[in-house]
Amino acid sequence: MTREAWSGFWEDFTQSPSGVFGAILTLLCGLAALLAPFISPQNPYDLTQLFLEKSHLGPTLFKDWSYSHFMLGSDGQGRCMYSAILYGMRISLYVGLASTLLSATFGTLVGLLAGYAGGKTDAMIMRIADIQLSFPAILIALTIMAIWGQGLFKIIIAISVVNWVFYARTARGSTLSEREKDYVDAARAIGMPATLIMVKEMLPNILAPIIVIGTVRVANAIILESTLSFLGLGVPITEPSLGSLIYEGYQELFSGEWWISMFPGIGLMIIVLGVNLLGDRLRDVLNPRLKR
Amino acid sequence: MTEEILSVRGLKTYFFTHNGVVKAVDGMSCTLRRSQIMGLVGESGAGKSVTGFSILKLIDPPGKIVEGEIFFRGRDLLKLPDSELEKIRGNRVSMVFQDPQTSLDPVFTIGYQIREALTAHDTVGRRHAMNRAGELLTLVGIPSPVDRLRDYPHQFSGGMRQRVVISIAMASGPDLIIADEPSTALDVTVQAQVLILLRNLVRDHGAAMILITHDIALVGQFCDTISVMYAGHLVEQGSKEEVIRRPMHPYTQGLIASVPGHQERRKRLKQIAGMMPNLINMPPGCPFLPRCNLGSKTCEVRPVLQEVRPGHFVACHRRAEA
Amino acid sequence: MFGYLLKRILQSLVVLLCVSFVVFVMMYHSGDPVEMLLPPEATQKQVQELRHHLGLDRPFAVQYWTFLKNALGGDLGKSFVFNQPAVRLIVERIPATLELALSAIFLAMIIGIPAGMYAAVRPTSWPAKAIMSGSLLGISLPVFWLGIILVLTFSVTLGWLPSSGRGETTMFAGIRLGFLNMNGFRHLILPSLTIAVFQLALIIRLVRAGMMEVMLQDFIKFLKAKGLSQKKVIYIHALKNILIPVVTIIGLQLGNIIAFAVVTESIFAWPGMGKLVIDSIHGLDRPVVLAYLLIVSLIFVILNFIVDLVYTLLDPRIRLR
Repeated sequence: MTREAWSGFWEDFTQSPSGVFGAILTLLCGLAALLAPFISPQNPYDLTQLFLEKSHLGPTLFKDWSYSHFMLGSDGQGRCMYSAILYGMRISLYVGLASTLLSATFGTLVGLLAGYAGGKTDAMIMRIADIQLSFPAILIALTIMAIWGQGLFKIIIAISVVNWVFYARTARGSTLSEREKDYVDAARAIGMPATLIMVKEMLPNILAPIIVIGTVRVANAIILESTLSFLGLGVPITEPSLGSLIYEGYQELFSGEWWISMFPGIGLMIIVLGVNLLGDRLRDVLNPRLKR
Repeated sequence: MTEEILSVRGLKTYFFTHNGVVKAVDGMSCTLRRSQIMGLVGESGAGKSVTGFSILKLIDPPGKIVEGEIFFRGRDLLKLPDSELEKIRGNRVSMVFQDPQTSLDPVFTIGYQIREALTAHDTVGRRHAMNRAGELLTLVGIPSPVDRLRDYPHQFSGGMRQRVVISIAMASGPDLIIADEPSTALDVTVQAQVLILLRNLVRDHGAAMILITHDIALVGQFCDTISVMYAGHLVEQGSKEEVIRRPMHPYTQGLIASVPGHQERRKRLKQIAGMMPNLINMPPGCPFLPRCNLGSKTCEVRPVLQEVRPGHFVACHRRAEA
Repeated sequence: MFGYLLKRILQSLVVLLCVSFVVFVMMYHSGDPVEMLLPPEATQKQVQELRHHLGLDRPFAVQYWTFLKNALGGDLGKSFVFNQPAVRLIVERIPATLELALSAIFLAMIIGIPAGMYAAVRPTSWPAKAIMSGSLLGISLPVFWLGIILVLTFSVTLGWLPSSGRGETTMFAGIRLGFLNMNGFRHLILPSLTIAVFQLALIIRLVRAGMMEVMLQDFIKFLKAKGLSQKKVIYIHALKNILIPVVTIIGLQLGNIIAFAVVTESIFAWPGMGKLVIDSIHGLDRPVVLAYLLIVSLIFVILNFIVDLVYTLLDPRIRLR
């Protein structure tokens, strides 16, 4: 993008306080997740750091407002909630981003192919996409994980499988309209091979809606992962994501230990809210029609 | 003297956008009598449609009518509350829009939409309204009206749709019809039909009409008086004979000269060089100055409308001198 | 029109076949149920006997064919855990899930549509801004967490509403329904609210966006030029124009809701299909999971079909093709 285009975009984007707020939230969560090993008082995955006598502790934050060990309480295994949340955010963000990148890449390429090739290839790919789209995402992911078993890598794949269709459809639509444009004819006239045309010429022009969908889908992916982990079909319990933590809390709910569910949930909500706000704003800025 | 139906005085409608203030209409005045058809001519963006919408106070934000008076049969429409205006719209003053494709609600039958126009102003029973709707369709020349009342807008061709729109406009027998480019979006063959229909309806019912168009040839054919607008300003106004045969303003002259058929054979089509200016931050002088052959220092002061011949007004320094 | 219907039905059947195949393949490769059913001390002979008894030693194609044949006859195997036909187990629980799903949608619609319209008509007012912020929150809240928070607030802390189960049910037209009596109704509130919030937020945003777009159309201006009051323009014309796509999307969401009911039913121990399938997954009850996936696929296919049909009926532009 040219410098003018970038600064124009920045100007539009910063006009909305909610968009900026969303960007800040997302950034904060991202930083927290990245720096988790450095800023958390405890490594909740390290079994040697967990002591049972430190379990089931209530949050101390509201009592003495200090950045201390167990300030958000601890769970049934003695894990410091604060640390667990930070590490959990890490996993949530990692899964969300990884699966989005994977499905976006795959979906965009497939969509490009379908849109450019047209004809039977297009029809077949879109038929598959339509069939998949007629089923709720969660069910597909559920099925995959139910059969495959828990695992970090597995859930990334499962979520990617669910989400690629959205990118494919969008990419195909954009490709279809770009295909009629002059620069494609020009490239063809000079004998550029089809794959090169698709990747080098058309791809940059169809990226904008893909990015917009991507930001929204990241939020979706994060929620999907946490839901599956909550049901015990996501990440293994030795490396709990926010969803798994909430499940733990659910089991302790009736003994009144609300903090085990509450805080991870708040953490989850913050990430998703941030990403949603960011995505919303991006969509408004990149959508030419709304520019009146 | 026939009754004066409409008197617009000093109308100014501005649009307050992010990029600046667009002075879409900057001082428009005109008068219309019963059974008169006035042509409002100008290029796209000259302010003709905005004038039409302003009369019915149908300007949406960021637009605003900032100044002026619009007297309809003695009452200033701009000072009336919405509740009163609703009684006049579609009843005493109607409007026909440019694009019949988008004027009608696609999910309601046209029978419903015509009846709606009727029941909005008279308390008529459903049966009566249905009959009247059928009569209206016949009036505008749509065959088998009773069946067609049950149809939806997309089942009509463009010309037919426009007739439906006209029938809605005529439903309550209005005193004034504002027709905004009523035939522009239609096929050439249908254009003339629609205009003839409008003219006949107006004459038969003793209404007045403002025909808004960019086509000066049309105006010459159908109108009694002509107002020429340019960049939001009224530049020439007078009877048809005066304006067409003795155009005074360089812009009007250009418009008439550029009509194919007015040309001598085998000569290139005459155009008016240049484009209409951006309506934001216009220079203070005559708006036509950049494109005018006769422009001079005096033209840097905005000209006012002056009567150069009986009933014939022009806003031009150079013409007024001649 | 008829040809179109036929085509859709055929398409649906193909989809179902594909799903059955995919699911069967996955199940086939997912592990050996025999291992789980027998105690570790079982002899090889016993293992082989059981395997033969369950038909698990035949070639894949034969197993699939048997499966298909049985499926068409309504037999999708017997649950390992309950020792009852899987189909029966699931069908028994459909009313419970449907009751949950439909009440959620109902709630979402009667709150969402008016709220969205208000936000569109008066976008600068503070209630409208609150509604939009609320809707953003609504789509950011994970369903399961919301459920837990609701339980925490209304059951554990305040003790107003029950936190699990369906309560008493009354028979109505041969189906067990909960909302017809007070006890069942109270049990229904929290779970349907949990699902409704997300749908509500979605509907609000949809309706608002749709309204704002419709209000810019030419025909709205023409309606005003006809002399119609703002009220009539909005509540009759604008509303009907946006209702069509909104209802379509809601119909499609019904499928999603049934899927998400899986989570809600787990939290609230609501005796529907969802809870059954989660329990079965953890209990390695393969036939039930298989049956669930197929029956739910069938439900979706039927739902999508109905929605398609309803859409063509509602929108006059499409109807007469």
